[in-house]
Amino acid sequence: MIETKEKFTAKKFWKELAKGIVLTNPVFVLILGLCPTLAVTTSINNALGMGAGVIFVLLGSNIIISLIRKITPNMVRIPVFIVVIAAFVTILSLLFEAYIPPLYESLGIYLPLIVVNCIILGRAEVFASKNPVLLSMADGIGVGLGFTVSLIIISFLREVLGTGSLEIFGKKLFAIPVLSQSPLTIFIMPPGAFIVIALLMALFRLLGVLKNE
Amino acid sequence: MWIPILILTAIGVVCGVLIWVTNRTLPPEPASLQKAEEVSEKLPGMNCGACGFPGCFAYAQALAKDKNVFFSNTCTTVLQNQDMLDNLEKSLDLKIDKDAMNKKAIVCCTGDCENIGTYLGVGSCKSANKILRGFKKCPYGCLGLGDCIKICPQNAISIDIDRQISVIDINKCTGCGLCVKECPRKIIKLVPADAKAVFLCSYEGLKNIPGREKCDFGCKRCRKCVKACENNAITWNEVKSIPEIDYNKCTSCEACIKACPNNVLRKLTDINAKPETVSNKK
Repeated sequence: MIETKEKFTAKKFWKELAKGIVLTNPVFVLILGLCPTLAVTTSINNALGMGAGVIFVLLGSNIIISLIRKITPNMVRIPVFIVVIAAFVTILSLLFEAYIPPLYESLGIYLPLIVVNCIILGRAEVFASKNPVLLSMADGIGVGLGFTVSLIIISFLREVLGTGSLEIFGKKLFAIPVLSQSPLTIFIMPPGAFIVIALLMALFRLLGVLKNE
Repeated sequence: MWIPILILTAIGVVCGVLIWVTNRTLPPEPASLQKAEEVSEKLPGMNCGACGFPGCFAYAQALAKDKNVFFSNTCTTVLQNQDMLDNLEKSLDLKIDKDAMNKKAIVCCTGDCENIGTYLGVGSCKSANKILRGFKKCPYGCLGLGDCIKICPQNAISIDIDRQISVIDINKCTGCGLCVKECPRKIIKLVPADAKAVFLCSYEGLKNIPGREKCDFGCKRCRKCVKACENNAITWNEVKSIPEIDYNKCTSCEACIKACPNNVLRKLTDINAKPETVSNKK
């Protein structure tokens, strides 16, 4: 394993954090974790819940994996990662079931499936197992936020276009007069997820191209 | 070789302890959920969905919240079993009048209807009913393709091969009403379980449907049953052109059953018996 020997600074922490949100945004740039992205972005509530869950698991697993990176034998590193991630996901689903049961029900199978979420396993393998604890924390928060922000953008567009109104935690924020009477229901359905993600991905590409020029 | 295994096991144990600690700090289950679990043990657990809730546990939750849900969304399977009913009454503190709520489904068609063509399409009544209003001469006859068989949670429905219609075993039927909703021709009806006479024809009036007419085995509109009834329990519905039985007035004298020339009015208990008159005509 390669170990980064550079000294840890606050600047590096923030840089690592920001990198996860924009430069290596897991959904739009790395195109990871699309399965939960497609499934739970029907409403902004679900997106927030899923995002919070992923941040929690990613942060926890990154810290633990980074802590045990020196005693983890290389040959069993993937099972070790999976065990750690599964433990955090179990804790998360217990917490969700106890404190926010409606969210637990609406996320359904996608909550336990965070175990095999490629974003989390990917960060453990690529980053946390090779970097010190604080940097791994920054990476966990950054990538988790990146995932959450993408989920929020997608679900915002899908909910507004698909139902004509926006609801957060049971509170109706606004309703668009004409659209809420005859909403574009396709955006709530699976094809809508693909359309929205494709358009946003194209936008991210365009921004990247413009920036390089 | 042993070191990685030990390390992995140790990490697993540590993670397990972490989960255990979290689990211990969680708040206890809310009282409503405990009540729902208690109620759900008293329910059949078949998850048939006939009560209108997605599964028995959702029904138990609704019952725990408001016990009067039992009257609007009745679990008919419980009604059939005295032990289950007693248990549920005890845990919900509810008085249930079993006889008044018990119902049976009947297929309101005597069968033997002629086909006007050969149907080779998808084997479901819903599809067959969409093509030129079905392949039977009577637009209200049972198509006998068995949509109701598939939905019945009690396996009470089967096809009578001779008559080409669905027949319901009233001993197995709990009156849940799933088949009533499923039938595309709306010819399955719920009657009280203690009803004596049932009317087995669904032909409503003579609507002008080209090429369609009433089959020879249905109601002849002779109105003998209305005259035969001494208690005025049977009235003639002029719009639908069928007799209607008021089960509150019926004294089970069976005069109407004897009077009916086509054996369309029958006793609920021998509803599926092949009538003599019909077989003689053939």
